[in-house]
Amino acid sequence: MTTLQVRHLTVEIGSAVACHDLSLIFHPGEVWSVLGRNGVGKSTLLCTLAGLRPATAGTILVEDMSLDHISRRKRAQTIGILFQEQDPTFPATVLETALTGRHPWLSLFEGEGETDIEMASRALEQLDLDGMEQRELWSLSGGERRRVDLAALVLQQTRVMLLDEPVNHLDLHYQVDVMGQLVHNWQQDGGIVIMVMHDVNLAMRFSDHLLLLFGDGETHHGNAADLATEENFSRLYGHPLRRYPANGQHFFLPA
Amino acid sequence: MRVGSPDLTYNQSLRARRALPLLAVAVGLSFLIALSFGSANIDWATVVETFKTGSASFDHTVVMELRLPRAASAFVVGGMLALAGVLMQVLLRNPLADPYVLGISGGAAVAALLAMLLGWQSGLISTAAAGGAMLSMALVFTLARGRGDWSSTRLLLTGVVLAAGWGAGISFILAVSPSSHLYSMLFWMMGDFGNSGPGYIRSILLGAGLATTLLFARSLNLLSAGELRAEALGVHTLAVRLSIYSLASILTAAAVTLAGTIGFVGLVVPHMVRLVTGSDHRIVLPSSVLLGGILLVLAETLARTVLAPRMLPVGVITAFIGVPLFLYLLRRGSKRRAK
Repeated sequence: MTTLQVRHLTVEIGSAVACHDLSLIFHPGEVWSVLGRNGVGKSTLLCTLAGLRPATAGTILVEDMSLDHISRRKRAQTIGILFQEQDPTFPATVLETALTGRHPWLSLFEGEGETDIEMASRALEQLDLDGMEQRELWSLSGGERRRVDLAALVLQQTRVMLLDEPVNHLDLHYQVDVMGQLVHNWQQDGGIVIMVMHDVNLAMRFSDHLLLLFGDGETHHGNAADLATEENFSRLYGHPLRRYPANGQHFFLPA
Repeated sequence: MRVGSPDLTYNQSLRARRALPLLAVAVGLSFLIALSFGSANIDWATVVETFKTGSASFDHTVVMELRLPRAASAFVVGGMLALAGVLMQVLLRNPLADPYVLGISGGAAVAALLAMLLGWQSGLISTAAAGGAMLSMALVFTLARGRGDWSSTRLLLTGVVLAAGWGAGISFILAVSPSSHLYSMLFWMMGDFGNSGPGYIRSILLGAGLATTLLFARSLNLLSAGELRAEALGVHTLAVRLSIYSLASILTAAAVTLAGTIGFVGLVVPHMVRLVTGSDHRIVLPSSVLLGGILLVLAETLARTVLAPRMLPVGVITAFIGVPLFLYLLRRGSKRRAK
C-alpha cells in the first residue's frame, strides 16, 4: 500500500502561497478534498504533488522515496492526474485518448495490445461512454470529454489519483453516481484520491479528509467532520456560510 | 460493440493500415512516371527493361543517369520536408507549423548564402544552413511563446515576420555579392535536383530520422495532446522536444541545401495524411514521408516537362498541386465531421 507524504512543503505561485511548511501523510484509502478561494494555488499544489513542478521548499515522498528520485515511468505508474480541461490541437478519437493512460505501462517497442483495448472498453463502459469509441474528441460535449479523461486516468492504474475539479462540466447524474462510484472503487482498492473541489457540499459528500488553503500559506488539514465548521468555511471563502442539517448530513449554504 | 471485440479499432486501423501499402505502390508509380516523361518520352516497358538489362543504350543513359538521380533526390527532399513538418507541428502544437511558413527554410537559406559569399566549402555550407535553421527555430520558439502554450496567431505572425526578414536578408546578400558568386547563388536558390542524386548522407538522415521518430511515436502522440499531460504520463518532454527540434532543423537545412526553399510540402502532406488516417504518429510519420516523396517526384517531373525545355521552380508546382488538393480535403474532412 502506497502512502504519499509531504514534509515541510512550501508551494508558491506568483504572490500567492498555496501552503507554507506543510507536513502531512496521505494514507491509502483516504479521499481528500482541497478547498480554497480562486487563485490560492490549488492546481499548482496538485501539479507539485504530481511531480510536474518543483516545490519552493520541502519534499514529497512516495513510500519512503523522494519524488525527485523516482523515474518518470515509475512516477507515471504511481501518480495520475486529471487536469482541468484543455482543447485538443489535433483530432483524436475517444478510444485513442483513453488509451493514452496505458503509456506508462508500455515499453518503447510495444503498442497497445488486445488486453489494453479490452481494459479501455471496460473503463469507457464504466463512464457511460460505450459505443462512442470512434467519436472524435472535438465532437463531444465538455462533460463527455471530461469523462474520456477520467477513463484515461482509470486506465493508468495508479495508486495516487490527483483530480483538478473532476466534476466540472459533469451533469448531476455523473457528478454524484459515476464520480461517486469511481472514487468509491479507488478507495476500496486502497488508492489515495486528492481532488480540488469548488463545491463544499460535493466535497463533503465524496471525501473523508479536507485540506483547506487560506491563501497566505496557512493551511488546515484533517478529518472532514472536524474541519467542516461554519467558522472555517466562512473564513476560507471570505463570505459567511451557514450549516443546515438534512437527511443526516450537513449542508453549507452562503448566508 | 462489446467488451473485448476486436472491431473496436476496426474503422480507424483499417483505414490507417490500408494507407501504407497504397502509398508504397504510389511511390513505385511516381518513379515510373518520373523516369518515362521528359524531353524524350520513354514508355514504361522500356523503363522496366532498362533496369533489367543495364545496356548502354541512349534510353538507359537518360533513365539511369539523368532521371533516376533527380527522382531519387526529389523523393528524399519531399520526405525530409514532410517529416520536418510533422515534427514542427508536434513541437509547436499547431497544425499550421511548417518549415517554410515559419521562416526556418529562410534562415537556412540566408546562412547558406552567407557561407557561399565567404567562399566556404559545400560541407560547411550545409553546416551553416543547419545553424541558420536552428537559429530561426529558436527565434520562433522564444518570440512566439506566450504564457504556457503557443497561440496560433502569435506563432504565425512571428513566423511570417521572420520569413519576411530572411527574405530581405537574401536580397541584401545577393545585392552585395560579387558577380562571380551571383550565378551559383541564384542557381542554388532556385533549387535543382541536379545530377548527383540525394547522396548517402541525406538518404541515411531521412531513414534514421524516420526510424528514431517512429520509436518515440507514442510520446509524440502524447506531446501533441499537451506538454503537461505528456509529462504526467512519464514522457521526458524536454528531451523529446529538444530532439525533434534539432531533427526538424537539420532535415529542413538538408532539404534546403539540396533543393532551395520549396514551400508547402511540410504543411500540406501531414495534414492530408491526418485527414485520411487519423493522428496516430505511428501511421502519420511513415505515411507523410512517403506522400511527401511522391508529391515532390511528381512535382519535379511536371517542372521539367510542362514548359520544356524551360524548367520551372519546383516550389511553384508544389503550390499548384497542393493548394487545391488541400482545400478539397479540408472541405471533405469538415463535411464528414458535420455528419
